[in-house]
Amino acid sequence: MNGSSTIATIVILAIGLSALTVGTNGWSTWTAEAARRQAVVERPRPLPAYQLLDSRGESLTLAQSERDLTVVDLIYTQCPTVCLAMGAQFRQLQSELATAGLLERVELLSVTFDPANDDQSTLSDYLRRFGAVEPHWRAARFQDNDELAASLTDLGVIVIPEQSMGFVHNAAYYLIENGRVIEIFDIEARTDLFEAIRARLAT
Amino acid sequence: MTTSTPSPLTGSARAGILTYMGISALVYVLMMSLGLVMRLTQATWLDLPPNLFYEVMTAHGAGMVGISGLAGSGVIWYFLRRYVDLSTGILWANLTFFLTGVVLILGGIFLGGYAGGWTFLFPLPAKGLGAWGVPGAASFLIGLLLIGVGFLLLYLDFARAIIAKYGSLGNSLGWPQLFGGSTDESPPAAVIAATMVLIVNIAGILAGAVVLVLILVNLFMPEFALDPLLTKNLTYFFGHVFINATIYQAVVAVYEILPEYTKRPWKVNKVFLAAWTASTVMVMAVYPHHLLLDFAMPTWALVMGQIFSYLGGFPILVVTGWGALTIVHRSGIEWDMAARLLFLSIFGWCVGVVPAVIDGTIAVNQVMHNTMWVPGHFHMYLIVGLVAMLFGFMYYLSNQSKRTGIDKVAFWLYLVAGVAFSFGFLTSGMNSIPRRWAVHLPEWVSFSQSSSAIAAVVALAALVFALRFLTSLKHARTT
Amino acid sequence: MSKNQRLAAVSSGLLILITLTPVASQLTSTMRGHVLLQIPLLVAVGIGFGRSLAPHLVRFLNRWNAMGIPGILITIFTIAFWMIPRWIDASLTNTSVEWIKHSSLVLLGGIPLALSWERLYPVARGAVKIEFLSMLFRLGWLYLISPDRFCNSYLLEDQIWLGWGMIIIGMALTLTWLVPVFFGEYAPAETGHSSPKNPNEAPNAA
Repeated sequence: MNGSSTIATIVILAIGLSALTVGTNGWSTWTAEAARRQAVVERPRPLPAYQLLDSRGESLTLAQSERDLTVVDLIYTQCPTVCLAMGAQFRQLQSELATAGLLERVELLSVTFDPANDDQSTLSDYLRRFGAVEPHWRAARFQDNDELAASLTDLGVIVIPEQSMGFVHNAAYYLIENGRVIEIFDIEARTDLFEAIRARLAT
Repeated sequence: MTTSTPSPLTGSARAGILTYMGISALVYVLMMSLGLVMRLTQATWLDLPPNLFYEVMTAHGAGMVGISGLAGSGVIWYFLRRYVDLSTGILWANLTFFLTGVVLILGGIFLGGYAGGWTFLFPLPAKGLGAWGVPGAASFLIGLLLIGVGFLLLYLDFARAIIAKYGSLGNSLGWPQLFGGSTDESPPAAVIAATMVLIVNIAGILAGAVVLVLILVNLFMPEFALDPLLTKNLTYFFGHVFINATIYQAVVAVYEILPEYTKRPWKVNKVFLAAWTASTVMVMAVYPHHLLLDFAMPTWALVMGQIFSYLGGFPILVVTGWGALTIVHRSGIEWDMAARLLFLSIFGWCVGVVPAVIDGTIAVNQVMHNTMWVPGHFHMYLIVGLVAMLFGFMYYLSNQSKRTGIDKVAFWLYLVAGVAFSFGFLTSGMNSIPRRWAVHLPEWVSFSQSSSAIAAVVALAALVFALRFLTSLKHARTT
Repeated sequence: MSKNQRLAAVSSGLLILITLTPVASQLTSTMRGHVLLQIPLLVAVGIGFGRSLAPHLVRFLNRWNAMGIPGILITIFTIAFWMIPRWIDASLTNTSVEWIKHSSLVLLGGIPLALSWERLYPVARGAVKIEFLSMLFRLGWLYLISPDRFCNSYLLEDQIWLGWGMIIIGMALTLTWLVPVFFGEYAPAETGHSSPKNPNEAPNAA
C-alpha cells in the first residue's frame, strides 16, 4: 500500500470510529428513545407554561406546581393496551406514596394526547376507573392542539395512529421538578421511579 | 496428476509453516500438561481450587481446539501450495489474528476468571455468578471471534486460489468426473480435501460470527433474550465443524507423504471423490448428535444426527484406510517416524470412531452423554488419530525422521499410553462418572489416579516428539 | 450520450425519484421500506455515479485508494452508521439529518464502493461479503427478539417484518453467491501445475 493510501486508511478509521462512538454516545445509546431519556437527565429543559384543564375544570400548567414533584404520564382514555398498564402502575405508585407518607408532596398527572375524544367527563371516568385519589392524582387535557403538538415534540413523544389499536406511542413516566423534566422512566420501571422520588424528597 | 510437484518452500512461506508447526508442538505439550493437572486434581493428588480447575478446563478445551485448527491448516497449506498459488501474506495474517485471539482468551480466562467451558454455551457466559464478570466472558468471546476472522481469511484464500486454477469448487471436488462422466484427470487429493474443508469451515465460521456477536450483545444488553436452543445449534454447528475439519486437513499428510515414500501414486478414483463429496454434507449435518439430550429439538434433527454419526466419518475413513493399506502393501516402505505415526493415525482414527458411533446412538446417548464416555471418544480420536498425524507431519517436515532409540521408545509409549488413557475415560463413563466435574466422589478417585499416571506418559512422549521437531527446525525441508 | 452520461442520468433520475417525489415518504412510511429499499437504493445511486466518474478523476482518487481498502472502509462505516436505530429515527424527525443521510449514503456509501470493489484483493471481497451476510443475520435476529421498538416512529410489527426480511435476503444472497462458486467457470480448468500468477489477477473468489 502506498503512503497516501496508508494515511487515508488511518484517517478513515479515526473518523469512522469517532462517528460511531459519538453517534451512540460512547457505544451506549442505540435508540432515539434512549437518547431522549439521556438528554433529559443531562440537560433538564424548562416546560412551556401552556394552559391545561383538569377533569374538574381547574386550570393548571406543567411549568408550575404547588408540590415538590410531579409525575406525568401521557395517555388516551380509549387506549386498550399500554395506558391500561400505566394506569394500573400509577395506582400502585399512588398507594406506595401514600404508605410512605409522600402523597401530599407529589402530584400524579395523566395528560391526554387525544383531546378530541377525551373531554372532562371522560377523564373523570378514567380517574374513577383506576381508583385515583383526587386531588393527588389528576387528569388533564390541553386546550390548544398546537400547544399539545409542540409539547409532544418537546418531550420527544411520537404518536403513530394505528388502525386496530388506536395510537401507538413511546410510553414513559416523566418526573418533573420546578417546571423541568429531570428524568424519564420506562413504564415497567415503577419501582425505580418510586425510589427516585423518595431519594429526591429525602434531601 | 497423482503425484505432487514439490515447488521450493523458501523465505517467508517456510518461516510461516515452521512457525505454525513449532507453536503447535509447544502448545500441544502445554495443553496436555493442563489436562494432566485436571486429572491430578480429580485424583486428589493436586489441590486445585474448583474455580481454577474450571478455568484450566476452559483453557485446555479452547487451546486444544484452537491449536488443532492452526496445526491442521498448516499441514494442508504446506501441501496445497504445491498445486495452487496461495498467499503467504494471508498465512501470516491468520497467525496474527490467532495470536491476538489467544491473548484475549487467556486474559478472559485467567484474569477475567471466565470458566464456562470452551463451548461457551448460552447463557453461561452471562451467568458467572461472581466467578467471572462481563469483561472476562467478553474477552474470551472476542478472542474466539478474532481467531475465526483469521481462519476465514485463510479459507477464502484457499477458495480464491483453487477457483483460479480449477474454475469452480464443483470442479475441484471432482464433480465432472463423479457425475458428468468426464474422463479428465481428477484433481489431486490435497485439492479435494482443501475444497471440502474450506466449504465446511467458512459455513461454520459464518454461524460462529453470528452467534458470538449475538451472545456478546446479550452480555451487555440482557434484554435481548436469545433463543437458547437456536443459539446452541449454531454454537455446535460452528464448534463441531471446526474441530471435525482439523482431521480432514491433517489427513492430507497421509495422501502426500505415503506416495512420496512408496513411490506409488495416491489413486483418486470415483469412490474417493464420492466419499469426500458425501462427507462435505455430512460433516455439516452431524452436529445434532451433541444435542440428543435436548428434548425440545425436533425429532427429525436428532434422527439425522444419529444417522449421520453412523455414516458421517466412514466414507473418508474407509477410502483413506483402504488407500493407505494398498499403497503400503509390499511397497518396501521405510518405516521411519513419519511413516509410523501417519500409519498409526489412521488406526487411531478408525478406533476412535467406534465410541463416537456408540455415543451417537440416541438410546446410549441419553445415559452416557454427560459422562466421561464422551471425552473418551474424542481423546482417542484426537490423541491417536489427529495429533499422531500432526507429529508424523512434523517429523517429515523436520527431515530428521530416521528413528533413534528415544524416538522408538516415545512412539510405543505414545501409542500404548494414548489408547490406555482414552480407555480410562471410556471405562469411567461406563461407570457413570460425570464429565466436567472438579471434585469427584471417593469411589471415582482410583480411575483418575491411574489415568493421571498414564496421562503423564502421553505428555512425556509428546514432549519428545515436540523437542525433536523444535531442535531440528534449521534442517527443515525447503520443498 | 456516452455510456457514462447515460448511467449518470439514470442515477440522477433515481435519486430524484426516491428523495424528492412522494415515493420518498412512501419508502420511509415503513421500517422495512426504509431499511431494505431506500437505503440500498441510495447506495445503488452512489454506485451509478461512481461508475460514471470521469477517468482522470478516478485515476486521481485511486492514488488514495490502494487495493480499494480505504474506499471500502468508508462504505462500511457509512452503512454501519445508518444501521443505528437512533439515526434512522432522527432522519424521520429532523430534516437536516435526513439530508445528511441521503447525501452520505450516495457520496460515502455508494461512490467509494463502486471505486473500490474491483480493486479489492479477492480474499478481502470474500470477507466483506461474509461480514455483510453475518450483519444481515445478526440484525435480523436482533429485530426478531427485541422486546422493545428500536424506532419510535415504527411499529413493533414492522420491526419483526424487517427482521424476517433481513434473514430471508441474507439466505437468498448466500445462495446467489454460492451457485457460481460451485458451478461457475471462472477460469479454464487446466491440467498440470501452473506457474504462480500475480494474486491480484486472480478472479473473484467467493
